[in-house]
Amino acid sequence: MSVTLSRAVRTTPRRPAVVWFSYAVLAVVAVVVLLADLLAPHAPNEQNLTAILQSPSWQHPLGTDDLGRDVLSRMIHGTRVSILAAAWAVGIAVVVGFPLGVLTGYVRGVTDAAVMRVLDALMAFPALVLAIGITAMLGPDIMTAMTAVGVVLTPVIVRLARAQTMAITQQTYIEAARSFGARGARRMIIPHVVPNVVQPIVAQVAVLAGFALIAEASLSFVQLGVQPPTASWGTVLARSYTFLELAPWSTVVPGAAIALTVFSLNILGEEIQRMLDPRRR
Amino acid sequence: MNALMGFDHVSVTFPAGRRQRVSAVDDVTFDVLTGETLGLIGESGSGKTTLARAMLGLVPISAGTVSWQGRSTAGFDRVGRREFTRSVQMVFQDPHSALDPRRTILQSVREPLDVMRRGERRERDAQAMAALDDVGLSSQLAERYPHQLSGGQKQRANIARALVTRPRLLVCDESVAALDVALQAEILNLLKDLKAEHDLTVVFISHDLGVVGHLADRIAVMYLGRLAEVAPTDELFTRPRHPYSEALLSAQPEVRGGSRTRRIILEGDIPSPLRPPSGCRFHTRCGHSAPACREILPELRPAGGDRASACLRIDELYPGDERSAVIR
Repeated sequence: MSVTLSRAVRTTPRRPAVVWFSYAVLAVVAVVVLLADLLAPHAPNEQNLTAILQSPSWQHPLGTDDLGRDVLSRMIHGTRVSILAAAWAVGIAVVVGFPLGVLTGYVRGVTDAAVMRVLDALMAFPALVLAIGITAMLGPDIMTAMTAVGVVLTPVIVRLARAQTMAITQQTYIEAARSFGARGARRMIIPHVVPNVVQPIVAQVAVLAGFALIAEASLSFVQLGVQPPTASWGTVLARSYTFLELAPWSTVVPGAAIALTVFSLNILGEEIQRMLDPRRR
Repeated sequence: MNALMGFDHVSVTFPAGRRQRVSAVDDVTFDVLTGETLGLIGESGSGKTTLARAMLGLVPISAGTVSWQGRSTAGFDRVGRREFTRSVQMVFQDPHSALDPRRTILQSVREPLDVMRRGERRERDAQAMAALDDVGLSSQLAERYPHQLSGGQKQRANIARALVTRPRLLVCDESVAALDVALQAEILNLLKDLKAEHDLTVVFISHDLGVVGHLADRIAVMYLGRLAEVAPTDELFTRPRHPYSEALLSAQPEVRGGSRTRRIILEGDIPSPLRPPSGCRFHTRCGHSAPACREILPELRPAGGDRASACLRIDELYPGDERSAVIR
């Protein structure tokens, strides 16, 4: 009957151009991460003190910085560092937060109350301030800093997973599964709870990845993250900021890279959420 | 006929805030006889659904015993529990939310077999397909997702899932309430056919007298967690022996018009199960309540024939019945 019709209607709408644009941005980022060594025209740390702060040219498409290093090459190598740093932080948040959220939402009771109080305390820290505090104690290092960011992001995932799990476990199909004896991780949580919880988490992960990217840039900007001479979007931005008046173009590039990637990740999050919904398939 | 499932002074209470408990089912005693269709009716909040869930062991029982073929379900070992779970299945009220939106119909119907780890995967697929066939769903629908099915098809899938383990007792909790009238009739007839075909005992819960009357051999009337009356369907419809049953019957809408009976309008709402009334729980809304009704909590007692009623004033209100046979 109308099933085929409504399916046809729902699958046809074209994705808006902004989605394709975001996919393109993320594809470029992915290619750059994978093939940085092949794509970069120069070595990222190769100095040429006779050609500092040059405007864009055929030889240096994005100009050079105050040490005569090729900004394009530094951006290309920096992409890998920045993306991995963001992935590390988000990875920690998901790997710790998701199981913890599903577990507390499923068992509830004392476990839930205890875990949530700890997380409430953790959530009271602004992510960047905690990261700054920890790197100040342990010494500036990007992995340390991003681990701190990941820890601070964990409660976001826990709360979302927990709330979603609680909502799911009220559904009749959970009780139905219980009625024929489905219990525990293998028969209840993995087949029924997890697939129905994952959807908003994926969307949140894309948003958090954007946040982590900004965190990397911010921490590197204040020299608590990626350490010179290693290039990252944050360090390139920090370096060029000092010479804003002499070479304004080189601040635009890392800024635009960060902004576009964060934007695209948000769009991706929305799209993934849509695709995971069986009603939209 | 012998009892397939027995309830002996069963109560179910739920915690409600600080040191309070809601009494959802209170001191309920009755048997589900092998092969019968027992209708369970009552208003919203009368404890029908809780009672159904207690049948499957989905809610903890705070007092009394539920027995299965004469053995208390509380004393089951693992094997006994598994056999019991297999034998008692439920069809839920809302056909849509009872199916996991992310699993295909075949996956959902096969799941009870998966959980019970019965046989090979291929065998389980075959059994699930057979169950879909039993309820009249074409095999093309097996790979669909719930949102791609109509309400009636979804409820058929739910019934297929309940039947796939070859149960003895099927508990239908308002299983047609969410469907339109034409579909209701379709599903009810399907249940009737399946009952005959699979030798099922059925407990059918509804607030709709017409639906229950169509299906049930006996009817149990619940009010505020207690049984008001248990009687064979015809008897209940023609000669109710509890003022609450009378009120329920008189509230049935009549399509043909005319006034067969005087309509009894119950005043007010069903009282809160947090603080149920003293004595007979129905006395606050009963047109015949006497001072004694406020004091004495009536038990379900034989009321002539195969009937039992929990009305204190049964002798005054319904004189001339013969009350000797003791049948619960």
